[in-house]
Amino acid sequence: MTRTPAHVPPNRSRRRFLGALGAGIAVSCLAPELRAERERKGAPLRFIGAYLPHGCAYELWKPDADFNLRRPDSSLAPFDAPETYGKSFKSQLLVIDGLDLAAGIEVGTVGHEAARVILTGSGAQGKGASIDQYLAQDCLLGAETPLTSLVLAVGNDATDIGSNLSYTSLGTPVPKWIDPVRVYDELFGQPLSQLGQAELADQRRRGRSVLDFARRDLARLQRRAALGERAKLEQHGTALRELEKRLSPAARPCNAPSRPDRAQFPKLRAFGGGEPNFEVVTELMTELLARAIACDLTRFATIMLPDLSRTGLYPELPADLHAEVAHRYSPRTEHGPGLPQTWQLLGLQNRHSYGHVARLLQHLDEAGVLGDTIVYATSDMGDPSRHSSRNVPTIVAGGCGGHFTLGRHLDLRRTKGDALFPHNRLLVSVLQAFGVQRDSFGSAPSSRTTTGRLNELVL
Amino acid sequence: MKCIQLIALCTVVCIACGGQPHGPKAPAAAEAKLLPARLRVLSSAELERALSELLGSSPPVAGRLAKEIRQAGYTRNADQPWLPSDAVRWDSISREAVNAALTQHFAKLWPCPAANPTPCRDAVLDNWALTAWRRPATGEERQELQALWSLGAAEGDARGGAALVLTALLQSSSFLYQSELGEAISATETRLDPYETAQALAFTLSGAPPDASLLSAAEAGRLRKGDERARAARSILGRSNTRHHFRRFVLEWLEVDQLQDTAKDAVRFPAYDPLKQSMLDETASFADQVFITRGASVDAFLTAGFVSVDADLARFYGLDAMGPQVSSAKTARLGILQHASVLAAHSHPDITSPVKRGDFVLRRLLCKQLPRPAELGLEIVMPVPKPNETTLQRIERHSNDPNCSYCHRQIDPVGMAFENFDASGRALAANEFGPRSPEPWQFNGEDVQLTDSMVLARWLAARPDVHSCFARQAFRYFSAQSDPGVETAFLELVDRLPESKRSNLIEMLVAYAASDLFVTRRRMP
Repeated sequence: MTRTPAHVPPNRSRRRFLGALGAGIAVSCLAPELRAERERKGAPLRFIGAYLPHGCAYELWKPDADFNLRRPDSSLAPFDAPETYGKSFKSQLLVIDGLDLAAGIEVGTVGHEAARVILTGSGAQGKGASIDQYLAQDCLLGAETPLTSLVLAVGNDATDIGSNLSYTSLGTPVPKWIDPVRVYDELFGQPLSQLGQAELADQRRRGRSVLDFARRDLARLQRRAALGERAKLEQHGTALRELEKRLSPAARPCNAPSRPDRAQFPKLRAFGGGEPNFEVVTELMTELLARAIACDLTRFATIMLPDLSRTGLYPELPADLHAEVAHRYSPRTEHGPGLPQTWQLLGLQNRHSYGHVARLLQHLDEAGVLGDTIVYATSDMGDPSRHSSRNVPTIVAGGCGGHFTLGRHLDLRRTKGDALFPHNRLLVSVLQAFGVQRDSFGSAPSSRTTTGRLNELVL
Repeated sequence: MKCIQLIALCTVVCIACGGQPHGPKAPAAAEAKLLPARLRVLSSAELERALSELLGSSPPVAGRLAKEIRQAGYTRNADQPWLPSDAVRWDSISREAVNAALTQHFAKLWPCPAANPTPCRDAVLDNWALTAWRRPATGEERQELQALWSLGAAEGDARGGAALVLTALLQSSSFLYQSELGEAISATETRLDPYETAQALAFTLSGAPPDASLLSAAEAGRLRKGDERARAARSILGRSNTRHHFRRFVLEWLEVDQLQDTAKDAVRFPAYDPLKQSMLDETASFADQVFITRGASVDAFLTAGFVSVDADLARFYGLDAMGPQVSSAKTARLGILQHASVLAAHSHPDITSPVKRGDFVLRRLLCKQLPRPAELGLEIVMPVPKPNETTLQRIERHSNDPNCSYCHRQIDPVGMAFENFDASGRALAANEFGPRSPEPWQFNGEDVQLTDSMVLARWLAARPDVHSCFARQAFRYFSAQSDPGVETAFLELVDRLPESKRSNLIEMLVAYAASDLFVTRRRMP
């Protein structure tokens, strides 16, 4: 994709902007010393959450004892494939083995529904935000960029709990963008930035008048509404602030990719004929996501990657990965050797998904922002034939701002036995890396599930 | 606890194969029997109609806003928030709509003379506010709208003024939310004001904002009494432009509205993809016919002896005729349960699913919610299907597993009744499908011999609990909320109707509109 200069709509000065948003209260969720350090360094931390389908073929996923990823059938091979992805990302990869989506398991939100649990640390009835939205919205860290957050998916814009990673503080899913053209226009194609200065000023003036009016109307409604409804209206206030940001475009040097060509993907949805286009759409989405981070258009993003069903990319794979590969995976257990041919098919899906994550790392690295980005990629299941949300394949990648010790395999299975090892601890550690002052996240019947950080992230 | 799931039939919806079941939640004694005083974001379909009411035209909204978050499977959802991404998308849609309207019919929207336009301007702004907000503007709001117009109309540019005011109205929460906050009538209750009542009647019964006549009735205080609201309800329900609302209810009740997002094995079912729209059209058209000619009764939905087919679907059904009411006597189809849309939506891409079909009937027609395996701590292992195994043989493995049998004895025989239809909804010849169990299905102590799904449909149509479940499902859709206590209050209201009207959706809704339940709300802290 060729690079063309583009006008990008950034923001006013941070202080003015946060002041306009009443940011003082929410930013207090950051530890003062960390906030100060963060501002002094001027290198904000970013977060990307990624969903990978169908759990994993553990036999091919688990790294060798020496953290060798170059084994031919290793699912994680893309992270050490400089010939394909520009460089090896092995030293910026932490493979975490043995985390359980315990907050979901405790309340029966498992299997296909457990995408809900991944970033919220809560089951189906949880009412909290996912960590990307918590950081971006509740802590207002997303207020500093034109887009508070970016929520993407390929092929699936459904709103059920199995199809979404990002949730608002009301516990409702954040709608996903699935069309690369719409994402491009949202990120790089704001019409206001094409206008002359006088016209731009006039548009802003009118736009602010409309928003002022909408805000007064909202305030009148808030005065009449009960407490429960006010939470809903507070979300509405957030929505108006998002619109306000869009009125503040100014020139910012940043290279945008060229606008995606819709002819490359005439159909977008799974089951609607979109599958053959998923590969090109995924490539576009990862590139747009990386550019959005590199151009500081947003610092918080999630993406749900698709499976290979009906894509026709691998002749050896059946059309329906879910029924014919994931369900038929037969792992090696203490009861039997399993079926290695089923590992190979699922491993192919896994390796392909990790290839997209590696490509994302490559884009971020080339843009010089990988070092300050936390990429957290996982799945809703470990063993997909059991629909089990235990031992979900977890990787943390990118430089992570130096907060975690990378380049290794962290094996939690050795110590946990049959007990659950809640992934909430990883979420808490990520929040703390951003300077958030809390030692628990999510909701579960047992507070032990939601409390504590993952100390093993740092050696 | 582990359970070996012995059929390759579970995908997204896995039914519990063990443990103790629990039926629908019984309302607690102290459960509220009123809807809460609330604000409800309009659905995409309602926004489109509200835009059209204000501007005279509307671009399509449904595909451009994010999909609605569902409650009990229904897109009308009072808990839906207005999110930043909604605001961004709506901003673009509403500006486009205003620009198009001002370009296409500015003179109609703005009939004011260039000289001394102020009195006319104020009247137009008042009317716009009334249409957009479904209530008159207050003095403060009128001043703000007039100030906005002046800002936009600098240097006499009336079009600029109109654009700014219309854009502001469309961005306002008074436009985007239907208010059911009401006015306090006691420490625990509020009552909808006349304009809120007009909104509630219009949105509940037609999925559209109130028209001028309903707003006039509100202004004149003619919606306070139950019989006045009943008359207004019958008037709304008598209009053809309310049908879309009922079609959507039926499609969502049957869980077929997302059929376009499903796929079948293209080798086994090559006809499926091109037929999906015809299948959906049939169910929508059938719903219209039942609404128009049968009072939208659940009996008619289940046992009407006609299909509504276009030429393609007629061929698929093996019929020579096409049209909205073609006799189904020569087919294995009766009522809505044997619609191809329903059969296909509750199947796997490659094979039928007695579990999905049975579960669907239990949940949506009998309101019986069985626990999912995960809720019982069960892990499911999907077996590799055996090529020569019949569906019955696969299914029967459930009964050999004590963890599975309790729930699946309830589910599977119901689903097996549909086994004479393949996964795409095509009727199979007798030699194309395997045997059904000779054992009767036991339901609440009753033995039912389900020889096929037409027997099931007739059995369901005769059951009071199915009628009551239908009323419950309808209430969830039309009231945009699932709350056992309020549903119970609605069912009590329905029970008080004469028997001949109890199963008739139109009569239920008229009775609801006339009731105190319709206009009274629970005060929230």
